[in-house]
Amino acid sequence: MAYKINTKKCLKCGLCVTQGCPENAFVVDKKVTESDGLKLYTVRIDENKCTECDTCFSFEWWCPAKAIVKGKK
Amino acid sequence: MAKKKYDKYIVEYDPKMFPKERRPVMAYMDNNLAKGSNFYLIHWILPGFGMQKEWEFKYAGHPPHIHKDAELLFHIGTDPDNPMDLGAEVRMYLGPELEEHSITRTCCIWIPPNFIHSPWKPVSCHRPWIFMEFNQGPVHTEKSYRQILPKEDRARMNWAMWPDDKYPEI
Repeated sequence: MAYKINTKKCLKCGLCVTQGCPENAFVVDKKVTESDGLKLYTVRIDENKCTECDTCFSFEWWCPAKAIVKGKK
Repeated sequence: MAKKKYDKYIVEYDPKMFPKERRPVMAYMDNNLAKGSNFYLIHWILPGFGMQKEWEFKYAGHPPHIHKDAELLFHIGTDPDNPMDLGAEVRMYLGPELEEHSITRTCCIWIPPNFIHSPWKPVSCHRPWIFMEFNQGPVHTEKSYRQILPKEDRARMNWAMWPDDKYPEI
């Protein structure tokens, strides 16, 4: 099993980076500031850090977009 | 009148605290005002509020956002003969899909932590009613999700009015 971010659903809010992943497996690859000041983050889950502990599934809206998926490695 | 021992527990809202508040606030409380209290905001919605010209587009109103803690949004009608009738209609959008709901009855909307909600937009009102916002956390928090709005609606908003509150920048 590997945890991934569904880039079609991801809203690039960056919340996952600050939500307290025990392994700090959420990594920001890119940060963009839009013309109205909104900051958007392209984030991925570092497979080498993720231990599949399920913290990011600990409650229904841990990710406000439900963009984290469990998939095959 | 002589001061009493427990006067400190009777807290009256001071309108000077929020000079820019657009709605008649009845009560406000949080952990800063009373140690141990959660965040509460209670105000009237009067006929005309939300129907101003600058809100004449579909997704006007308080834009999409989340809070760190669960929130309860009570919509309370004031007709003593029919207390379940709100006397108004509020358009409320829920989830990242902006699912549209029409609120016309006295009710409470439960907002889990991190759940995207709003715009919240009064679209009609023929009787004053009471809005109560209870957060199950000590202070108000807010993070904008305006990226889910159509570009044309997003361009019409004054985003200085809707800053993120207590979310760290990455």
